[in-house]
Amino acid sequence: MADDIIDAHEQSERARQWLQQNGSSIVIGILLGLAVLLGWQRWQQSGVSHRAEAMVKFDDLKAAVDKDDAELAGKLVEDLRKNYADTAHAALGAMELAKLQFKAGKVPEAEAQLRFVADSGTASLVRSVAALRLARLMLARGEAQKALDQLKSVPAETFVVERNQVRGDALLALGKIEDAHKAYNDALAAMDVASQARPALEAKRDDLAAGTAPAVVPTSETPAVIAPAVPAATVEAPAAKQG
Amino acid sequence: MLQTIREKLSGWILILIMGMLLVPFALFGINNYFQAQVENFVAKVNETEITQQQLQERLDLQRRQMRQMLGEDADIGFVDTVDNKRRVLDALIDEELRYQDARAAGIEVPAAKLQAEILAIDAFKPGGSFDQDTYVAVLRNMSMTPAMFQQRVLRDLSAREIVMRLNDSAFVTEGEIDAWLRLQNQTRSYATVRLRAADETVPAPSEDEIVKDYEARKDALKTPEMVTLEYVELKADAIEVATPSEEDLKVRYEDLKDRYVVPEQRLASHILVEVSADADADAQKAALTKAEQLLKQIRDGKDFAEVAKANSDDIGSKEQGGDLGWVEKGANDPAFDEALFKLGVGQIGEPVLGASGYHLIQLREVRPESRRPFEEVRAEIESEYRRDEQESRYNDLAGRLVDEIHRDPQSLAGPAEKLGIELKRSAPFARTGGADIAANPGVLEQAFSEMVLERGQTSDLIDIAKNHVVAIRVAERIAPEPRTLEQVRPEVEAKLRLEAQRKQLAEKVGALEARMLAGESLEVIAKELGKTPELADAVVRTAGNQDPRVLDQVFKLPRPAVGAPLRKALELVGDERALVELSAVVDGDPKAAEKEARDAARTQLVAQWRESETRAYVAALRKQAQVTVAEDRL
Repeated sequence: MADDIIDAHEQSERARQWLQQNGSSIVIGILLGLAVLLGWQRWQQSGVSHRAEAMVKFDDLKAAVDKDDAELAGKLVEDLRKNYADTAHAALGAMELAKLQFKAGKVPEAEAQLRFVADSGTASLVRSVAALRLARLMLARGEAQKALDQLKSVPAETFVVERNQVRGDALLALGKIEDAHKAYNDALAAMDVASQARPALEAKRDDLAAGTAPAVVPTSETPAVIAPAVPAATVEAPAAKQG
Repeated sequence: MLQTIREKLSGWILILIMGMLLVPFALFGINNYFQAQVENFVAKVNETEITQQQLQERLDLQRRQMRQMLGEDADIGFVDTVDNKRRVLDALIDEELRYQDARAAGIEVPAAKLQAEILAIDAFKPGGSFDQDTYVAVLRNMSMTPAMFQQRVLRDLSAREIVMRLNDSAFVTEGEIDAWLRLQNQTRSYATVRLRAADETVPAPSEDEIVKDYEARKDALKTPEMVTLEYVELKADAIEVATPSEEDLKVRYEDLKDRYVVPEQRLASHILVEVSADADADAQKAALTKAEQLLKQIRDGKDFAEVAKANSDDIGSKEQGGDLGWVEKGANDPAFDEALFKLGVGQIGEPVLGASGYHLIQLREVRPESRRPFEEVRAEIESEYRRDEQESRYNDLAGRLVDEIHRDPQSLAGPAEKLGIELKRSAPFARTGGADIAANPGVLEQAFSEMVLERGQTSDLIDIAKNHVVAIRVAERIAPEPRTLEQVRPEVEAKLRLEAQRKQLAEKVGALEARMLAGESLEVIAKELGKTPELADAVVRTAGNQDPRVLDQVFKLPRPAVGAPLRKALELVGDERALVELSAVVDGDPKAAEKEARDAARTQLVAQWRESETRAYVAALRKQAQVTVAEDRL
């Protein structure tokens, strides 16, 4: 420790010297700091506007889908998938397109879109929804076993109702009536009591009640449709259908 | 001074003093971390708190909506029940979860979209288009700044985006529709024989059984806990107010002048020469010339009405000779108004250009501005005067009552006396309710609440209807009391009898079911019971003309094999049983379904998938998040 008393003049002299030696580095340091700060802000802002752009693109896509303009919709989804994969709008857009393609009978294309989301979407829950829908498309093509495998990608304890419902449909299509009954039961156990889908699902389960007589599959049934093994029994004559 | 200190102090003392000074400086503010923080959130979603205030805002909104839907006088006490608060809070939590999820998924709402959303809100469009002043006024009403409001809308838009988009892209496959139609249009044919427990003949219960049952259920047979309330009631309608003086009423009449003025009216006719506003100069000119010619004809002596009938382009008035009836200012085109209200009686003006063309206007009669005389509206003014007085007295009393209750929560007689209101007393009633105010659910809830029943305090003001409240206090609490066997004998006997009947019926039906399973037909058994089976021929699961208790269970039965009907006994609610024989199950044929039925099925199933996916999505969000709910602060 310097115990000597330094007079005022010498003190200022020392300060001047110190500034001379270090002044430029201080100024550079401050400028650098400011630049980093501004740059950071700018970068953040550019992220925000980039993501906002994704929503604008999505709205364009929605308009195209509503007008059944498959070509424009395809282009927009490609753009979203390529340039905006950091937002959920890429996945949501692909699912929008999948619906349009499915409606137009282009099942493989629709499956490809859903598979993209199921395998690589940013938001995990959106991926699960896509996986469920993908499984249903596979089932619609008659690929029940593939559908069952696809369902495994949905994490346990989430989408319990939906997963088991689709599983039930697939198992039924494979003719495993008892397993299907159990799957529907699991779905119902997890389902909200107030859900409007409940009566329909209960009907599905109850229709597979134990001890059911073997089904008579109508010959006109096409194999591509869901659940070809559904017991579409015609037991006695009255074919009168009530609505 | 510092120099002196420095000189006088040797090194180690300085260090010691500095060290001591250092402690308070270094630790300044640290106590905040250790003190128990006053937490007042009602829920915490990950790191974000949902405050008491946010919940209250939502509840207020719900209250307003309920009042709008059910009317001012409706009883909406349920809004403040814990169950409802919990429901509303759950919705808030879900919103927060969805917002956080949207942020994490990179959802960003563009400024233009936010603006469009706000511009489209009906509340800001008094005349059909967005109005800045209304916007600011409405926000002020909600005590919000535009920035706060924008932030809220932005949040809503982000929070709903993902689920809304998932809903957009939901679909249903043809196979799913087929499966649904097969089940919905499935028909079943069955026959039923129903048996009632009440029809069974059983011996009267013995004295032994009665005594035994009485002893066993002594507690349950006690009288219910009851209370007698003392209460004060404030009702605006019932408040006596002094009859207003003639003077007061006249002042009020003057204040309400505008309401009783009937503006000037003019009886007019017109002839229209149609020309559209964007027509070219030639067409305009031609129309004006025609109008001038018609005016000349009239001035030369032709009847206005005749000319109108022959030439007017106004289909509405043409046949009546151009008659428009009594017209007030502001009912027509401004140019038309101006011309009409300048004319003298009997005059016909020069052609006037309005929005639909040139008008020739004839003024036939004038009714000057008039005012309904005081005598005519006196009764109306008086009753309004009374109502206002009553309401202000009522509000004043209600405010003072609340204050008095706060001051002395253990007595109601005091406040009642101070305010000069009658202290009333109810008849005793149980939790199931009673007559008069004891029929009101809000009163019941409070009367048996911890605060009022256990601690003997006066309740809050309870709304009975609009401008009608009560405050209650338990005057007497009547504990459950045992009843003697003689008092409850009929009750006990009836119960024992029904039990015996049930048991007998169960045994009987069990035996009959065994015979049916062994192959006896329902017809044979019905005959033996002296009954005719009820037949349901090919009914669907939604059939409205069948006993739903039977129908529901029949549709859960397995399919019978061909030629081998399925027979079973069913238990029905209401102490009945049924023997059924299910003979046929026929699936609906999806191919036979009409296009409309198919479309309806598609719409319904898509809606189901949407609901289902949305529920599951939000449930999964909840599972992944840390959600704490402060139940005690609800």
